[in-house]
Amino acid sequence: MPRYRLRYAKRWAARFLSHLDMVRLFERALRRAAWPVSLTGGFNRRPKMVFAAALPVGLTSTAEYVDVWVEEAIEPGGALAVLNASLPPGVEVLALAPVPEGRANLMAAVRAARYLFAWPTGGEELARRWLALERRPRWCVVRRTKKALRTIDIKPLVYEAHLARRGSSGILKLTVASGQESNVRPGEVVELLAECGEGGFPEPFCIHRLELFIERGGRLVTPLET
Amino acid sequence: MPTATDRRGAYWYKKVDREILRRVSKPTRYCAGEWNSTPKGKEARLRIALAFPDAYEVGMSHLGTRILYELLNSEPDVAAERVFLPWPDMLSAMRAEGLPLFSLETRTPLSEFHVVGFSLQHELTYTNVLEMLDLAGIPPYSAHRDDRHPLVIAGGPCCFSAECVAPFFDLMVLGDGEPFVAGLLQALRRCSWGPGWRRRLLDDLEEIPGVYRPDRFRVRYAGDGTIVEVAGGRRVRKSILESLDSVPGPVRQVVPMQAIVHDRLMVELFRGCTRGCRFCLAGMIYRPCRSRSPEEVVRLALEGFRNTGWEEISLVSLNSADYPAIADVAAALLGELAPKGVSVSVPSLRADAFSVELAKQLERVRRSTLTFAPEAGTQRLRDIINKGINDKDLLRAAEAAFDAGWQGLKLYFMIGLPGETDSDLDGIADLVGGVRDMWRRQGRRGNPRISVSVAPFVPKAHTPFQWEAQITIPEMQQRIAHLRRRLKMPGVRVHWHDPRASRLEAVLARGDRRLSEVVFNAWRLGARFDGWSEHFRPDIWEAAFRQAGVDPAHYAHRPRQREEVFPWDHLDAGVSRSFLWRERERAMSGEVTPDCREAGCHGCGVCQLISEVSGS
Repeated sequence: MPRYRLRYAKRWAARFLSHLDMVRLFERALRRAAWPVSLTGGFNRRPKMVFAAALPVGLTSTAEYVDVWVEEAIEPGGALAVLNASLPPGVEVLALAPVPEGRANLMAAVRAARYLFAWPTGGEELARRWLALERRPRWCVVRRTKKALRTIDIKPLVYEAHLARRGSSGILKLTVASGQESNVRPGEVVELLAECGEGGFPEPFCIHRLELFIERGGRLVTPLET
Repeated sequence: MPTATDRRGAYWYKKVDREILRRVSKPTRYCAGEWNSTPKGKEARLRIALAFPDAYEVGMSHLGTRILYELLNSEPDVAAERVFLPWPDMLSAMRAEGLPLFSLETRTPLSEFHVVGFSLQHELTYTNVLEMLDLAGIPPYSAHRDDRHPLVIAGGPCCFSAECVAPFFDLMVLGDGEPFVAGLLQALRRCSWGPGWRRRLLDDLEEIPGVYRPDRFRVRYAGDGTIVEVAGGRRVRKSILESLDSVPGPVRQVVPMQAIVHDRLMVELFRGCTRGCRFCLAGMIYRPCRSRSPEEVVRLALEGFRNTGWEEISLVSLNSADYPAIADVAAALLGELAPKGVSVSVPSLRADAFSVELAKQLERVRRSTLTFAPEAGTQRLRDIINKGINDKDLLRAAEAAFDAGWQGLKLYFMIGLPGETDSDLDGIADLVGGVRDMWRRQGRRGNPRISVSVAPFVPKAHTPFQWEAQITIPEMQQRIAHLRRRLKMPGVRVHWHDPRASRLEAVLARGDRRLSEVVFNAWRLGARFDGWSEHFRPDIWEAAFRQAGVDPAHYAHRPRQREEVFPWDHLDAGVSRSFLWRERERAMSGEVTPDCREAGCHGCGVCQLISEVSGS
């Protein structure tokens, strides 16, 4: 069965959709677009798809990925256009390419993600807080597992950071661990910034996923990289 | 004509997006942009708001709203936009920011529409109507509205006896909405919108069949609280759509992006039901039975699927197994859709083997829950309510279901039906026990999962039980407790409706105009979302009754005299009062009345109404 990898954007009101909502949305859009989608077996037959990584509700992204299996090969350019004409506003497929046979499961291969945090004002305060945060040896966050609360240090999971200021605005770009093995949630960084100084710090105006990275042959690449 | 008075341009539009939506639960409810939603906005000459007085998830599941949305938006000069009651967190945020209630499609304040049409599906949504009007800045009482305000109208099954909210509406529509829409649009297009338009438009609309203007009627009460007369106008006859095939069915239903209650494409098989269950409001007011042709059903389903991509198509009606061609239609649809992973379902089934056969056919793609509604526990009581199934049918259906691989069933029962005794309650437990025995019979181990829903009976207007008293709240609690004790069986779960909510429903369902003060008081004291157990506030309602000096028992727990004038006597659902009384008498003597489609006419009167209407 041919497999195709889609990169799509989630913007505007679509940012409020949950991961489950997105799965349903794509299933329906693929049927409207009449793609020859393969179905899973069993009592509840659904289109065969694997999403890379769930995006937290409220975030926008231009780097969402999903693999779709089809019964017969499709012509990517035409299929992309038809699918985009079947998607509601806020969700747009940006690229589409066949996946060579033998490639790993998309979800299992995800290792890192790059996020953009933007504040329209308070750039100066952001810079101060970021400095303070960087000086901390450990970035402890509390996570709720099924049974207990667990504290972990996410500092080693932040691979790359870039701070930019333009006028009064502040922009923070972070590349962090993402995936099933280790994961940094964007909200955790926001919480750390809030506790890194006097008084509260406003939530960023937007958090946007810029890119997602998977591991292939010991190397981090973007999922559509050949 | 309603104009932009309190709109502060794009300011609050942005405020909603940038601030409010990120603070509230499920913001998708307020975002629109769904597939097939139709944002025409200001380019259309006529703006009609389809207001559903409940949460998005409920309103989006309503077939009637889907039908009207598509019917209205198929007219180029009409913009029909949806509006639901925002969830309490959004309500607070909007009130705090001073934002008026707006439509989903173009975020137009409700007060800028020409017509705001509410759908009254359930009595416990009445306070929601007031909340929506108030949030929109529209005076709740019809008498306080003038040419600056939209026309506020209502439709839906409740309108046949919605006297307790009558003062809030400029007009109500009785019966089928499709014929009314044609007349409404004609009148709106003719309307000049100059000074005095409201009165002229109302006079014009009054000529359309099914239109009821509450302000035309005056009610006179007797010393004992009953009604002497409802005077002032002609009796209002319901509007009847003679053939479903004569109107275009909805094939571009709006596909929600978040989960809703009934998340599927709906295709209406037939409207009305003549089984004649004596407690059933829908079975009386939607008569006669009008079927869609099988070819049209299949066409609507396939076209609807192509336009929506929904994974499930529901063949809806009051009793879909009664549709003569149900098996053929299901086979035709499954042949086309099953390979695409699309399932076909029916909303509820009669408790018999045929229905299980049908369910077996339908579960090719996805297995759904099997739900049966025996309603009562013994044959005697089922004969009283004219629910034409027997224990053997139900047990055979259960056996067939278990044999076909279902692990459980859902069963619906009512308590407090006329003539019910403890032995009828025990009958429910025996029946559930019998269903469990069916599981054991084939040597299956463990227990089937049986979910039993128990609802206190609510007597409804225009049914043979409109004369009956509802049992009191302590009595309901006692009977539920009795049932729960008797149903303590492994694998059996019992759910029950709040007796206080059922009592309120009974009061409002047969209420008169004096209750409008109670509804208004309750809303002012903070009642809303009364149909949601987590938001229902019985204490508020008690206070509202006290404030208005109204005794709820007068409406809920009082048996009526045969000749008593009812608050809804001036509203004609087509089924005559003499037929309803005859049915009540037959109920009391335990005589069943078979379906007129098989046993011939019982003279309920609705067909006569049709011939008079089409003859005139």
